[in-house]
Amino acid sequence: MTKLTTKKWLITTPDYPPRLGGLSTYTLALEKALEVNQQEFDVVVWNDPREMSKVDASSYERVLNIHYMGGFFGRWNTQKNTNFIHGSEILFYSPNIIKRIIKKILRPKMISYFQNSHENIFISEFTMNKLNSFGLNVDYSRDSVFHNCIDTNGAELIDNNIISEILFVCIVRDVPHKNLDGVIKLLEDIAAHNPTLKIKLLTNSSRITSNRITIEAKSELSDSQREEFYRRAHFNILLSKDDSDKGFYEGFGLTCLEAGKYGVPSIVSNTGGLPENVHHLYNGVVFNPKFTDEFHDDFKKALGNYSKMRDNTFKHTLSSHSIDMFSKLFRNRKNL
Amino acid sequence: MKSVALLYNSPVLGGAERSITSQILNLNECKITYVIPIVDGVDQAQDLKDHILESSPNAKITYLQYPRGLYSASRSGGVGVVSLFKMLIGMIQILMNLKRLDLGAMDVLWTNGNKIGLPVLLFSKIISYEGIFIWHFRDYPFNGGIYRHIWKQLKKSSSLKKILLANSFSVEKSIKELMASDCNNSEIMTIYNPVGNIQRRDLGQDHDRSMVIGVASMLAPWKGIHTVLEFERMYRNELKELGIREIAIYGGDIYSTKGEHQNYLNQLLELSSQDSLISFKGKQQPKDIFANIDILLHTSLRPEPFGRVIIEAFAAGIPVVSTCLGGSGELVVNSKSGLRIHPYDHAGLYSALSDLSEKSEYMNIAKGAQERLVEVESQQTQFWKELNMKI
Repeated sequence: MTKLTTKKWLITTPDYPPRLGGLSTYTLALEKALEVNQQEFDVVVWNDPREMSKVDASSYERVLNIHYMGGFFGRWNTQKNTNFIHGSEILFYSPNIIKRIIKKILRPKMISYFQNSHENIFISEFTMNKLNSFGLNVDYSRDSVFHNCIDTNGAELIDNNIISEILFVCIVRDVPHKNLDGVIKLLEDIAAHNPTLKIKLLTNSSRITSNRITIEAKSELSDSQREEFYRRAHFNILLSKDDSDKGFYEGFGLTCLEAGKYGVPSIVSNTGGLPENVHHLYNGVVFNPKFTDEFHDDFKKALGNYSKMRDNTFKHTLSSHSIDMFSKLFRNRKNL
Repeated sequence: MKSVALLYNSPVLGGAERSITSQILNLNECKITYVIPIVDGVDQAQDLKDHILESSPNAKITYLQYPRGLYSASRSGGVGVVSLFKMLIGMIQILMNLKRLDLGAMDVLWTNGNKIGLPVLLFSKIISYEGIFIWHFRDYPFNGGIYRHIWKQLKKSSSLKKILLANSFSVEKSIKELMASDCNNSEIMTIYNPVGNIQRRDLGQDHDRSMVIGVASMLAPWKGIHTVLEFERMYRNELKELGIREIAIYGGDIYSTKGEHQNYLNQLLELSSQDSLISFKGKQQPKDIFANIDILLHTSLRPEPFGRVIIEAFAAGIPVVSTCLGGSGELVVNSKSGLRIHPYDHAGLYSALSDLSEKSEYMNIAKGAQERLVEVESQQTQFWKELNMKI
């Protein structure tokens, strides 16, 4: 068994620099939070969670699992585990039918794992309720919600009024649940309702086309190009579907924070954790496809109040979703 | 003189019961019979009975035996086979009990919630009731499971003179969505809950001493009290520097409901620690709560049908910080009659409390709240004028 040095905390993660990705960033944020709270820690990076069965965590008081599977396969006392749950990784689904059956069989054991862990920290209330629907009895002394955060270095409130054109940005993987076709449809609707304004979409998908709106697509966006798209935009748009039965829903919607860094409000669907991120008519608009007339009225209100909405979005992103919030996460926690 | 039967939804004295007891007195030239449902014997309704007599010393009070099986099935929302069977048997029993009350002779049947609304609706249909049936919604109508069939019955009753009352425009909107194309067969109106007997404080009284934040609600997870504990844990030092000496949690689980409310208090106690600012005060009268707090924190995680505690705070001159979901968002106008926060936004909550620690902002908000209260009372006056004309 791999034996690590004696420290109070162990972080287990599937992603760490130089690997890029949301979990890599999340791990770094937690490291910084522990440093601020003067806690010593070690980090174990896994490629396959089954590697964790070889880790000896007996000398650690707490194990922070950036992805719960690290703790699930670990052989240490489950009550040492704090699990961070980000979204659809808790759906017991796989496109592979054999893996899907295995996950369904393992489900009671996995629920039991969460039940017996020291803490479960969910990225959204939606995610917590989802696990509850699978059998987890929510216990508020163990389970909590902590919304996602972002590195706000380089954040800037860009003064970007709407004159004759509305620029929307949508940077997502072009997969069915991200609903790019739904985005085009809504933007075409917006164009029809606002005939004096040109509608343009900035996107990383080269597949989508439209006769009614202009699309500026760049398929391989570098980091700086992505940031430039956000900076230029008037609205970010994310209309993800809740495809929980196919293994996906939007846990929180990090792109809304990426856009929010520049004061760009978001239009989001009322699915997953998105309505917990975007507060209707405060820092964006929540779209319910059952009430399209209402959406267009609300969008007009957003246009009428656009400058204030940008200001709200920027201040809210910086004050409530800065990565510095992680350092507060560990304050005054029991048994620390 | 019109005869009115006011049928309560519960034997336990809660906000809804307090509200209707004072609201009903706004009916002109009416003789009111107060009908209290009882499940476990008359003693459980003692507080409600005392409250009615305090309001109307000569009140005529009668009891309606509410079958236990129906009461617990409707409270838990269970729709399994056993629950369905209990509900069916219970419904037959309650219809027979309603028959004994001679309600058919009443000019108005006023039902104060869903548990009593459905049996009285069915009863009204059976006896071809010719008076006015009022269904007073105290919560958003749930449109799932067995409840879909309940609303179908409501929509079908086109020959019955129906008034559907909401306690906020947010609830009214839900009722209209529910009734959809059948809206024309029912009158749908909104009446805000009354404020009750709250002593008005001088604005900003004692603001310069260290402050106490209060949370006053039933202890249910959707009221978000656990988020207050999380917030206190994260911002304890900053709150002390702001001059906040205590966060007092008032309330108890008054409606004895199964499901998610069980054990919540124990979980909250587990979450709190000895050196925290949090203290649990249990159930206390509104006047005692508002005499001892400086700011009311309202952290509901779901749309609140109304938020009576908010207007009580307005009346007491206490600024409110609220998540403003549902009806509560009609009362708290951000930066005017209160401050708005978002659920789980602990940084936002800290910012709001920081603003209120400044006396000038505190006074502005407290004054704005009392102006909003005047607007609410004016809406109520207009409503009673209209309703008295209809009745």
